[in-house]
Amino acid sequence: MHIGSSLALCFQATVFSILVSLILVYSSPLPVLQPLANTLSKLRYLPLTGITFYLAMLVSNARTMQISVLVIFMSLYFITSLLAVLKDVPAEEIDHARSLKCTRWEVLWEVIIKGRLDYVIDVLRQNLAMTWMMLVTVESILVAAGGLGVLIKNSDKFMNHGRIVALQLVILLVGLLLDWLLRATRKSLFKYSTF
Amino acid sequence: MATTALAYEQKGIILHVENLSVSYGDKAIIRDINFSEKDTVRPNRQQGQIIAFLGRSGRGKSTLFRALTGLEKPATGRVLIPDLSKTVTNGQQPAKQVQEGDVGFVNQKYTLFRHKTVYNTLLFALRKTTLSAPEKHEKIMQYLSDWGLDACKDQFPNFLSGGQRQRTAILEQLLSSGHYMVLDEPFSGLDIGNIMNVKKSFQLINESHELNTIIFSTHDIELAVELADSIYILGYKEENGQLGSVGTILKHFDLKQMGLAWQDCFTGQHLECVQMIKDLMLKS
Repeated sequence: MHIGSSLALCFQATVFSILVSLILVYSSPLPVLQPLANTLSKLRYLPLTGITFYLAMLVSNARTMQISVLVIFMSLYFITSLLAVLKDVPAEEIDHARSLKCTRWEVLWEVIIKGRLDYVIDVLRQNLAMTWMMLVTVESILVAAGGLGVLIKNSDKFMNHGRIVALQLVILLVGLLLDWLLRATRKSLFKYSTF
Repeated sequence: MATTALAYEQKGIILHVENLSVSYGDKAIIRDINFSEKDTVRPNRQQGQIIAFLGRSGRGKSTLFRALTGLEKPATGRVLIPDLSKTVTNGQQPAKQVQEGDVGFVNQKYTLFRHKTVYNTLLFALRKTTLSAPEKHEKIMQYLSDWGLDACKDQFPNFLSGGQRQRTAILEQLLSSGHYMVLDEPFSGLDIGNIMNVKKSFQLINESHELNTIIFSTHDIELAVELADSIYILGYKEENGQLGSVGTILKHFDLKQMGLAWQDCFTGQHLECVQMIKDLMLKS
């Protein structure tokens, strides 16, 4: 039940943050949004404690609080990684699309979005490791919503080290499974992806 | 062995470049580029044009090519091609300024969409035509067969050999742009087999329509003299005894007029031409 709760939290936060990040990053070539994307990327150095303080004033529900903290945390890292993916798109690929009479929207769709979807999955996979690690901290901050983090916190409180190690192993294995699943998804959905 | 000049006739202008200059910021890269090419017709033969641009590195060949394809906005001047969508008036085909996509562009890396198979690449290239879906399929299959790509039609670019990738990139641009094709150093870094493949691709394009025009650059002067019927030398002009820093056309070699174009073998006259080009390039 606790694994399910943690996975559900992770899934919800991932979906929201990837949506927010993708929209922002894909729009970042617009001069208005570029400074915003760059500023948000730099905010990844902001401590989580600072964020939770302000969020606590806005959100009352424990689950929403957990999701919000994770979404903010993940989005800042996603934005950073996705901006790097966008920056690495070779100019020749843009020129190639333009030489085929592609409109700006077609260039965005074919080169940036469709042409880099496998990179997005890989960014997700790489950042998920950090998120999965954060998940335990976030869950232990807000005990009421349950999850693996709560179990670890309770075990720590009663000095139950054997249980802590067991839970750590469970967290590690579930994390590795998620990593493998994402890698397998990328490989099977994007046959052209060779990295 | 001396060459015999082959008969030909020149019709309307197919490419007109007028006072073209391109700058990046304050730095002028090319300046005062002027040339015209005409549709060349040979008796009992369907044949397009092959134009080569030669010049030392950094003389603005790639910049000129970007301007010719409409990918780079010129600082001054214009590039005109016939507007085939309009009807001929007073025996003249109306002209239009070149736009992105009017002239196919194949870069040195033979860039393709990494997420499209060969078939889907060609289908995408035909998306703006008025052909029906079955007609597009038939046309693609015909080209794939003619160009020896039918076996790899469902493969992604990452899994194609160098030669297959080149042919796909050239074919894609040919289907999308129509008659004009610019290739930036298509022979760079290729082994002899792939050079032969590209030469064969040139031949296929050249023989498929009289308006088909291939413009390419290379550092292989012999190859340019062998393949092209018109060669332009791009380089720095000498100004006040000093070499300038802006690329421009130094000389035009009309190999048709010189009797060197379309010959089956490479003769002493070809070698003389190669030597003249080398001397000119060394001074530029």
